[in-house]
Amino acid sequence: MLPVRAILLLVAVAIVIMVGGCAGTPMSVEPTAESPPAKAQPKPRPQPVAVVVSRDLASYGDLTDELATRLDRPYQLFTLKGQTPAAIQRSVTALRPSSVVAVGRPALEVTSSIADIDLIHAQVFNPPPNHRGVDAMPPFEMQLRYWNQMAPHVQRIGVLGSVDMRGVIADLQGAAESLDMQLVRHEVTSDKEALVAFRRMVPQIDGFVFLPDPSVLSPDVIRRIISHGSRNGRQIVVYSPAMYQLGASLYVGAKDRDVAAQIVRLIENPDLQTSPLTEMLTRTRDRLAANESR
Amino acid sequence: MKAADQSAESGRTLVREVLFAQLAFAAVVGFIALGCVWWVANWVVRDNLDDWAARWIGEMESLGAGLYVEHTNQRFLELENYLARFPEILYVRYYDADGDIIYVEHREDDERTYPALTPNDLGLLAQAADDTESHLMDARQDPIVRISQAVVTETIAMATDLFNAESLDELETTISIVGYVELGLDYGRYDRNMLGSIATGSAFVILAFLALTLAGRIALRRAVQPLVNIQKPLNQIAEGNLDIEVPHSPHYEIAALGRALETAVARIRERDQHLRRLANFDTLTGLPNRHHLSELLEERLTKIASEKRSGALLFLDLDQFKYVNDSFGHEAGDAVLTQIAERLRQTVRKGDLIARYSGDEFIMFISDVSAERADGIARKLMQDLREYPLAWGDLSFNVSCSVGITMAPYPRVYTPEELISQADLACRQAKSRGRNRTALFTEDAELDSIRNDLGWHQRLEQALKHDEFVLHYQPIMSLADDGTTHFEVLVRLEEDGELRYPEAFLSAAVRFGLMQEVDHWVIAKALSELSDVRQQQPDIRFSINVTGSSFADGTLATFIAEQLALNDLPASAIVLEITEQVAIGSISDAVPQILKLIELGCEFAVDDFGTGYSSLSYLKRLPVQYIKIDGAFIQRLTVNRADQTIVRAIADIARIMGKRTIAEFVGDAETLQLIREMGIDFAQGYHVGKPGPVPGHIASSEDRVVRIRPRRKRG
Repeated sequence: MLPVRAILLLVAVAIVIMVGGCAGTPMSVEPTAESPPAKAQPKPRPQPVAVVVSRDLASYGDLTDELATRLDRPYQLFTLKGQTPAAIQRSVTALRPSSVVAVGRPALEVTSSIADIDLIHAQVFNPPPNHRGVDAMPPFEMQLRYWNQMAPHVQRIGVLGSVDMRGVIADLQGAAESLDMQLVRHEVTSDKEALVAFRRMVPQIDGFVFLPDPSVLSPDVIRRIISHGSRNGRQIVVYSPAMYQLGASLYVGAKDRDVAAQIVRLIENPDLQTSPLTEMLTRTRDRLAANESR
Repeated sequence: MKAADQSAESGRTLVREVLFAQLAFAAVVGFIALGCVWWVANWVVRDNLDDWAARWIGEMESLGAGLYVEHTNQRFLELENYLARFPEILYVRYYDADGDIIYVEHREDDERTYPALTPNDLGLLAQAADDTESHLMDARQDPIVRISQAVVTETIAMATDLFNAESLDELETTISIVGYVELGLDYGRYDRNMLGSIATGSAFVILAFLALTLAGRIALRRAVQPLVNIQKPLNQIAEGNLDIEVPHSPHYEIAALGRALETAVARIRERDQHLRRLANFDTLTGLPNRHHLSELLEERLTKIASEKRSGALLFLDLDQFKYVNDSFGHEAGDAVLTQIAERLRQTVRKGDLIARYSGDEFIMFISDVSAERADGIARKLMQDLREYPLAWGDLSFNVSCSVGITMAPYPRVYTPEELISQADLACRQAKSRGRNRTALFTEDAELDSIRNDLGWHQRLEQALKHDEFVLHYQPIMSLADDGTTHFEVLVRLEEDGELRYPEAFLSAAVRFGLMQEVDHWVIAKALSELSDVRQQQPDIRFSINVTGSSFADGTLATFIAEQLALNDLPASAIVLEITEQVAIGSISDAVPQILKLIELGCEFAVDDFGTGYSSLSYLKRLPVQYIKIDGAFIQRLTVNRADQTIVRAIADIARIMGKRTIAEFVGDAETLQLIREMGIDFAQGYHVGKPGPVPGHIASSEDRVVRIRPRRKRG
């Protein structure tokens, strides 16, 4: 059976290459390890999936690799680097994909204007409403529980955000309440106000969930908030590798395989609006190695 | 006015001047230091204030005051509290993004108004907004400084994806101006505070310095007190008192000064003693000098008077001592005087007084002696000098002397000066009697002397008036051919059938100012007789003595010229004999007349050469044609080697100088032969021919026996 399946796989790859050769700089990948077993009667040729990544990041590479192993259909990879949004849009449209996976907010912004496509975003924090996609972060309840296990004294949690973050903060509020933790929240309108609010908030909290809200943050304020929190012994949870590098206490992220699985799930279930993550990637100052307990 | 008095009047003291200099120096340094402190402090404060201003404006920007935080009383309270902590901040203003003032906070005690930011200011701030650290500083209202800055917010561009960013540096941001903030700062507050601080500090420094100055004054006065103490001994020294006590000081400098003063006093004392010795004692003989003699004599007279004793004063004058001095030099003369002084010491008893009165005059005061005993002592001394010649090197000198004696009786009658005068008079009497003898002063002798002087005055005037002078002529023989055509004119005074020699009357003629008249009489008479003599013997020449007195009024040359013309005589017919003093030109009037007469044709001879002031070196300077060697060298020529040496030397030198020599006092054939061998040109003396009247004498000049008494020429 194995040689037959191998021959079929090679044929599928050849077809994908032939079809995808018309795109700008596409990179076609044929599903392999997780491909469904061959049937006696060949199915109709499935529509490809377009994967658009914001940048040429190593983490994106890991994610697309994971995605390739899970897709049972051909897909084509696009990267925004070196391409204009219009070129990307033309290439994606020409591919006529069944789904377009946008990894990262820039990719989402480029592809969201393409009409009549099934757009699935991933690694987009606080995405615009009415978009399908995989949550950027593990559920807050999972995060807080883990945090509580790591630092039981952290009972009062602070959070800052713009008006755009109300939904996120509401989720966080719910998770905190479920774990009997107190959430101190403050809505700000600028980076300076964020810094002022954080300084005023510090006496009231044990830890701080630092949402990556670009509309009210500047690099300087990010540094000063983390610095001020650290100096005052407050644990700070961040979701961005860049912010973690500045000295935050805990980094929470998504595992690539989980994200890839949730993308495939959304591709295969067009009725699903979103798909939460089920695993959590963490890095802490106390334990620098990735926590892959789940 | 003395310098010390002037200093005292001016009130200047060393302490005061040192302190003044110290104060002046400190004041200058202080002012410079204060200026430097003021400038540096001001610069530092201003720089610091600038830093603080930047910090304050940054804080104001952070506090926001409604620009990016809610308008709550808490925020404004924070702002007020912040401002209250920094009184330098006069006001703070916030502007919205459109430049409208939305909030102002003033200091309560500041009622001044300050202009708001202009649109231009806002534009500049907006241009600089990209740099959040940039601000504008405006010091136009110095010392009020305004600092302003744009208040901005910064957001991260969505497109740069903060969530997935691996570094903040890769994020793009956008800046938005939400408003402006302005601070008014009172830099003058620091200036005033600093000025006040410097003034207070300066006041303390001045007070401290005044205290130090006071202490320094006391210390300086103490330090210089030893110097002041030295003033007393210095004043004593200035008053001639060398018995001083120099105060000792523990300070090295003052002690050194004291030692130097002591050394100086010792030196002064030594020098004083030396000067006293120089002033009171003759350096050559070590005997008291003329000045000191009076003091010593006064002491001695007082002493013997108090002891009711008497004494004798002996005035001793060496005969012909000038020959030794002039011929053998002062070294020989000094040696002779030293030996004579020693002889005198040996002659008298210890305690008797010996002094050198003048060049060759000595005085002895011998106590407790009679006139006879004093005369005996004098004679014994004269005998010693005769029998035991004085020596100098290989030469020996027989020096004779004349001694005048006067008695200092008890009770005391005479002063020292009177006694010396009496002894001097007696000595002159002894000399006038032919030298090498003694004479005792008597009051009669003094009266005789005075009477004699007065008599001579009248006698000389009478002699001039009545032609009572007589001329005698002594031949001068040429040793070249033994011919005699040259006669010296000698003046005599005929008195009661006897002829008086010049020694008897010439000194009186000089004293009474009659010498010029005597000279003129002699010249006129001699030329008159010469004119007659030359009628028969045309080659006869006369040598006529002329004294210095005749040169006094400058008419001598004219007078001689007139007399020559009157007697129809050529000037070459006469030789004028002058003394060394006149010849050498010490009388300023003489030289032009001598030169005039030489020009006329007269010849000159210097008389008694060797006895005056001249030395051999004068020979080449003498404006004369003849050198007449003094008879003192000739009289004992055959037995005295020194005289031979002198005469030979004079002859040799005169010959080299082109002058002819005449030897006087040639008394025998042996002497004549000797001077001939020595190269003397002419001889004069009893052996050649005695003086005699003219014209018969001249005609029989072979007659050589006229008188045997020694002659004494004028001048």
